[in-house]
Amino acid sequence: MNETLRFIDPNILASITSMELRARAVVEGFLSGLHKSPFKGFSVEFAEYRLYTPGDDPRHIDWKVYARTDRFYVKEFEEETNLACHLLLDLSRSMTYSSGGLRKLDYAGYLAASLAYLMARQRDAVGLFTFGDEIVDYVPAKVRTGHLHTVLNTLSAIQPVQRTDLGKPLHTLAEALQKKGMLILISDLLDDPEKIIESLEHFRFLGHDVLVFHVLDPAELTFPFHSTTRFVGLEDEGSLMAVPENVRAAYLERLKAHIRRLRSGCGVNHIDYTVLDTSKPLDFALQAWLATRAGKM
Amino acid sequence: MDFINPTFLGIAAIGATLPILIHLIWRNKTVRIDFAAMRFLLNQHKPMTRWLRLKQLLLLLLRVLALAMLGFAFARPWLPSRSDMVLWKKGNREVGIIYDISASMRAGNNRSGSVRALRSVLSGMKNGDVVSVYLNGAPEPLLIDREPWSADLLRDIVSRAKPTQRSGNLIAGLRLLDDQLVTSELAQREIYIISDFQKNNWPVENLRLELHSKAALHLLPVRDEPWKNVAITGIALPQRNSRTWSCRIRNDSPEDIRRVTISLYVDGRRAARKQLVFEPDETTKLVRFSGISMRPGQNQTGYFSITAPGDEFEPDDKRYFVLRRDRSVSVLLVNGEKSAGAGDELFFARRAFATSSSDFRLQETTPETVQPARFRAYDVVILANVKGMNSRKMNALRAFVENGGGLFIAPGDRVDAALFNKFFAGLSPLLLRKKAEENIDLARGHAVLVQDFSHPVIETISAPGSPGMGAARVYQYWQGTAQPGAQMVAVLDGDHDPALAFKNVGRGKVALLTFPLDVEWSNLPLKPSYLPLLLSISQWLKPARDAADALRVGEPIFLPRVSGRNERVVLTLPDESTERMRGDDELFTATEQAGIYTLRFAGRTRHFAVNIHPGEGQPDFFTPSDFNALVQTHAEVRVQGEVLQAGSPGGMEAESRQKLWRIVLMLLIALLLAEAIWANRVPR
Repeated sequence: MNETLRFIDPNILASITSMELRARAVVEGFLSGLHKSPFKGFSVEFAEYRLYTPGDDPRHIDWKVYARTDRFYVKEFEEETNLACHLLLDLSRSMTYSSGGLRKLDYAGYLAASLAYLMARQRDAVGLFTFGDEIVDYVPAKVRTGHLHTVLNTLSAIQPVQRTDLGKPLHTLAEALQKKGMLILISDLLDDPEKIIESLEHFRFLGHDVLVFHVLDPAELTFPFHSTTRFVGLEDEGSLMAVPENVRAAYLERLKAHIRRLRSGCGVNHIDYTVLDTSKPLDFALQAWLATRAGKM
Repeated sequence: MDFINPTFLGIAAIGATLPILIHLIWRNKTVRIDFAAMRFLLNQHKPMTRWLRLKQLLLLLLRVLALAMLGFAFARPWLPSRSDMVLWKKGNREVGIIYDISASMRAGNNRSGSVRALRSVLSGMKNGDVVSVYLNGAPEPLLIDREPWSADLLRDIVSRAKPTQRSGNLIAGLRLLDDQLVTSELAQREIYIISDFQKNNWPVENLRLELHSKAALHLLPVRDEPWKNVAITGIALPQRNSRTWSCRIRNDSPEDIRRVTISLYVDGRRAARKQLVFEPDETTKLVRFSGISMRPGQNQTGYFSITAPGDEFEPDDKRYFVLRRDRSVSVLLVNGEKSAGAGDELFFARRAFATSSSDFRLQETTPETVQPARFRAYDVVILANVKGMNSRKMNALRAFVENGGGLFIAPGDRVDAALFNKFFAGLSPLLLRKKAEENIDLARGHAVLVQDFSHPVIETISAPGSPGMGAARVYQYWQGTAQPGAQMVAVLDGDHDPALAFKNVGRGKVALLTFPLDVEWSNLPLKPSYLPLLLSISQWLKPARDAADALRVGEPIFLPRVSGRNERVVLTLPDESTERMRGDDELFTATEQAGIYTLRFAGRTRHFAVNIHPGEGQPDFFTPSDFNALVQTHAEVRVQGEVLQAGSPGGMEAESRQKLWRIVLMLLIALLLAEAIWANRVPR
């Protein structure tokens, strides 16, 4: 691993106690690893003048125009230049699974924190939804100084909740979000792919750009078990005594079909879909986000 | 199937349960994983099929079998033959019974006790069992030869097994029955010995008897306690110009039998009578009768007789004799080391024979000059330290002996063992091994121990008034191995190597002294016993036509050769019955009664005195420890039902021959291979 990227190793990150420090380590490490930043700075850009009306903030009066015209004009800026981005973090119990490294929930938390940090650094408004069956916590998207701290604090305190019906909270979110923006869904997506795609289509219908990070444990991706094992569901799905060798092929086939379905569903709806392995560094996710972000500018 | 170490079967059983226990213990300890992606696992068709369970059970079975096979191999299995397996299940036995009817069985209650013991042995048998009966002391010992058991067997045996006056040979009986049982198809084999176990029935041999049939031995002594007996153990007849007759009386029960009357009968008339009184600690007495004249020039017969109130054994109360006027014995002395003076090999022998010059005619020669055709002109040939002779001379010597001649061999330092054994194989009672010349204690030497006091040669030396051999010392001698038919008469103390041995070869006899006749290896020539020993050996070796008038019951009478085809030899037995035999009959073997046998042929008359073995009346018995020292067997030995020796597993020999453990081990290896392959295929 590149020296600069070692801070992005999820296992090293786990040893850092502060969520902000973790996010900074990821992002700074990530950015310093880039040879040349492909991204321009996003400053506030002038849009037009309008007559001052009582109640406007006097700081926005353009005194040079007043000197020329003797009228109070207020500068208006294009607000859209700052992206409103909402992180949707799945807190379901299935996210607590770990085959030895980081839990999926922790990995997702680090990813969300890193993205939030990166967004804040680029002066994008960042918001956070955590959800289980319903929305657990909500931090609205803002650019204000200190807001990042709120987001990171919320991420530090996340706890798993009971079984997730992924479709329901996503539809609720879609209804709640009035402004168009970018939505980043971080989840293991262990639900009916049709329902998931339907809810994602809902976002798209409302004009949101959607980015999906499908977080999976390496054991879920390879099913490396050997001895006869009793598999017990984390969300009360039941249990199964099985010889891994006997069920591995079918399991992997089903998993691939699931991913294929999600990928195709997302592709059709112009949704960026990325599968993340919790044993891999976070830079891959950050790159994916930046690529998507660049496409939106 | 049987096992040498059946304990390992138990260990194998315990070992075989280990995989099952491990299986049971670990069965409920499967790995549990809390898994997130259950939706991809549930509702699979074959999460864990029955086939997998079956494979696991098969694997378990392989492991159990492998451990069981290991124990099985250590248990060392062996298979009895198929017939054994079939018959064994039926519980059939092959039983050999040695039933003693020798003279000593007439004493006390021995006879009734033996019938009781026989009845108890036979009552334990059943249909399908096989029986052989050896009558110890009978002229034809094998009474029943592997016949099926029947209810009439007891009556049959008792009616046919008449008591005899012979001595028995239990060793011969054991050997014969053991040889029979070796080939038995029945796995249960037993030998019962019903006897008083009198020592006279156990001839001393240099070989330890080893039984091979693995038959369980049951010793059934039938005597209650030593019987009370007074016996005549030896007699001395008047020599030339002597008028003294003597005999030795042995009282085995001096506390119970004190007064003994002894009478001397000559030619049917009582010639003398004496009363004896034994003190409580006095067991032998020498009785002399003097002043009884012999009829000049004639052979005479007679007997000593004793009467003692309380005497329980009658056969040894009479001792028959024949008093003969013998012609002189012609002796050929072959000198192997001729030299001047006392260094000559025959220096002492020559002088010994000279003392009785009227009885012996001597001729001396050397191995080089001896004429083979002249052997037959002599009665006895003495080879004194003779290294060997050429084959023509040896063949002539062999023919001489087989035709009745006597041969006396006294090997010394000139003899080579290998050459000797080559020349004298089949002739000599002993084959020579090596000279015993290590650790010679010149001050002590080896004493000569008489083994068979009843032998006619020894009787002469140990007769009342005779010197005996106790003073003689032997410093060097040839160690020898007894040959079949050899009779050890005297041995040397220490290792009990033979000193004097005899053997019958054809019609002749061979004697062997294991040291020479001079003083080079022993001081015997300087002792009083030398002269009578040398002379009595020569007398005994002379051809049967003039010798063997003193016989034991059962010993044959050599018949004279008559010239006419129709001429008959008439033998009158002690009970006055007569036997008429043809001239070409060589032997009369039915000397079953003690007494005087009279032979008439071609106008001539000859007498033979037949007596029972003097040891038969001696209440001296074989003990279990004596038995163990003499008989070697791996099978069980019981005395009156009590275990004397536990039997070692009978299948040792079969197991070592069959080596089934190798097959079992190969099976084990195959099982382990199968287990290894199967274990890789079957998921844990």
